[in-house]
Amino acid sequence: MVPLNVAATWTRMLSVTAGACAAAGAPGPGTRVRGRPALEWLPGPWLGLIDFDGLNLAEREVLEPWLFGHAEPLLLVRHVLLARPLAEDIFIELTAQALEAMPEGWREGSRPILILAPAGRTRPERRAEYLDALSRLRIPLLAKGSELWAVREFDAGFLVALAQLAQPRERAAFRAAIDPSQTRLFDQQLAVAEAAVLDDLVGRRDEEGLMALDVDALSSLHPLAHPLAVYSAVERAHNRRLPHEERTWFSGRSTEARLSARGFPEPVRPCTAEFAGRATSVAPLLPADLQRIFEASELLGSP
Amino acid sequence: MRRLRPESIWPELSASPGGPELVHRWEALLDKAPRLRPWVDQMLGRHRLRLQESGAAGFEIERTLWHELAQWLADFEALPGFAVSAIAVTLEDERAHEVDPDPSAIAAEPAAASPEQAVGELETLLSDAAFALAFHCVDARLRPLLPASGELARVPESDWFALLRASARPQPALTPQVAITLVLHVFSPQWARNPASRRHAALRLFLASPVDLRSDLQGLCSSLPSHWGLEPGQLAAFVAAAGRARVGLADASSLCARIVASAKARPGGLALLADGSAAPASPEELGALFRNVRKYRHMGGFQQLLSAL
Repeated sequence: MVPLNVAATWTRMLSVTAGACAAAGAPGPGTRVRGRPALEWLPGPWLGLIDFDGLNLAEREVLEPWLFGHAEPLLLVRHVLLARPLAEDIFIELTAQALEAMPEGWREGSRPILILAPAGRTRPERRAEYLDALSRLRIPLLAKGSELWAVREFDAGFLVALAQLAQPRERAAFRAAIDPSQTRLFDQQLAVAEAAVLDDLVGRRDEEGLMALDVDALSSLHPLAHPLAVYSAVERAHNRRLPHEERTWFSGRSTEARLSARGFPEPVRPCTAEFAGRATSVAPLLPADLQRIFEASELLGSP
Repeated sequence: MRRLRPESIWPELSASPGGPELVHRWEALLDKAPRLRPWVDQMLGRHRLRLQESGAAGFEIERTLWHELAQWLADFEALPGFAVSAIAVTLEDERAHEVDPDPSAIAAEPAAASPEQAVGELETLLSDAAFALAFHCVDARLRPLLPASGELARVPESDWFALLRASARPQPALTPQVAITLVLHVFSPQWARNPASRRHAALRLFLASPVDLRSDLQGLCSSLPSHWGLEPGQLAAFVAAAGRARVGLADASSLCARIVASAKARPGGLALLADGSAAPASPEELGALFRNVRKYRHMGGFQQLLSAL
């Protein structure tokens, strides 16, 4: 068991049910792109790889039975097929339940892969390890390489707390420790919080932000491009404008480009009049937005 | 008549001889699909209210509710377990997730919360010291920076709040900024009612710099929320005000971290807001917090917060 800070867990639960996110990063199958969930671009569920590296033994022992005894079907209805957790070594091993649930022929083609990593817990070199391991795997699922895998980070402490609260004894102890006037609220919020966290893992509660607007705009210009590929191009265009410490490395392609230094220094062309005409017919864009989306569009077509 | 427990969601047991058995079967179902519980609770509440308004007697209301519970249960039990879980997952308002073939026409997010739900969420948040502190920081550092008069007077405070929240990077942890943007979210429920295309144009303008104001400004104005009534000549003032608001959000987050650093104890979620690197708040900053309590003394979280300092 993991000792729970009752007050902190309760506050976190309220914050998540009130709208704070418990996972964020690259789009998941539930993330809306141009009003459509990202899962609609390719048939079949996405593969989910949850990374236990960074979690201690007690946390893993709480999380694993909950994930595979309780959350796995709930993630499946959210279009994520969960594989065995990643530990120090990275390899893909489907569970018996996943093997049974996967659609026929699902393993024979490339599929979007979402790595669920504990926020603030992973080692700096972990992204490189993902890239190295996934590049070596010669399986049809990974045929499209880094274009179709990406990372979402989740609040590991809260997920562990929810897993622990799924056990009746732990739940009763927690319930007894909170303000008696809030026990009824707790009974309601626990289930809502669990659903919110699972939704966050798959991007279903993702909200509007500048990155999402740019993904929408670029996707409108390249409607057949998969949302993960579009996100990757947008993330790289945003990263160019951010100081190093604020850059994100959620998409596999961004990680690959950075680590391989391929194509660096990246040539940046000014937005063309033809592109500006097409892009502004999709959405009203200011000059800085236009240049950023133009660069992303160029990156979309290059490795 | 006695209820099972004060917090039980079920109707009066005495109104149905089969009540205990129904409760047993429902609880077995809810163990498998816990997300159904709030739905059942809400449905019972709505039906009870409707029956009360129709003038039905108390005993009759409870008996009718048992009858409805029995029918719903039969429906759910007839489904395979997996389907029950799936239904439980999607019982929330599906209108929120409808796909619109023309994204520019998407009216908005979901389904705004009812006023009662919004008040409930606010009350709950404000019963915790962390969110009471975030509320104070919004009051102290953000509100004074928002234009309340002049050419931007038609842009409501709640719209500024919504734009600030949308401009913040999502973080899967509770930080001072997350606590503050959550308070901003609670204060801006109307924002989602604007059409998506207008929200998006507004966010792009909110994040613009002065050099961006050199393209088709009339076209931009017509794509903004219509109640703002902005003219091209007012966009520069809007961009400048947006810049000040973003600075205010950063400032409010820093103040929040400093006040947490000053706390002798960290009740509620205050422990989650501590980052270990912030300097303690100044006496003036703490003084402003204590003065604000006159305004918010009815909020439980404020009392907790003050007792921790």
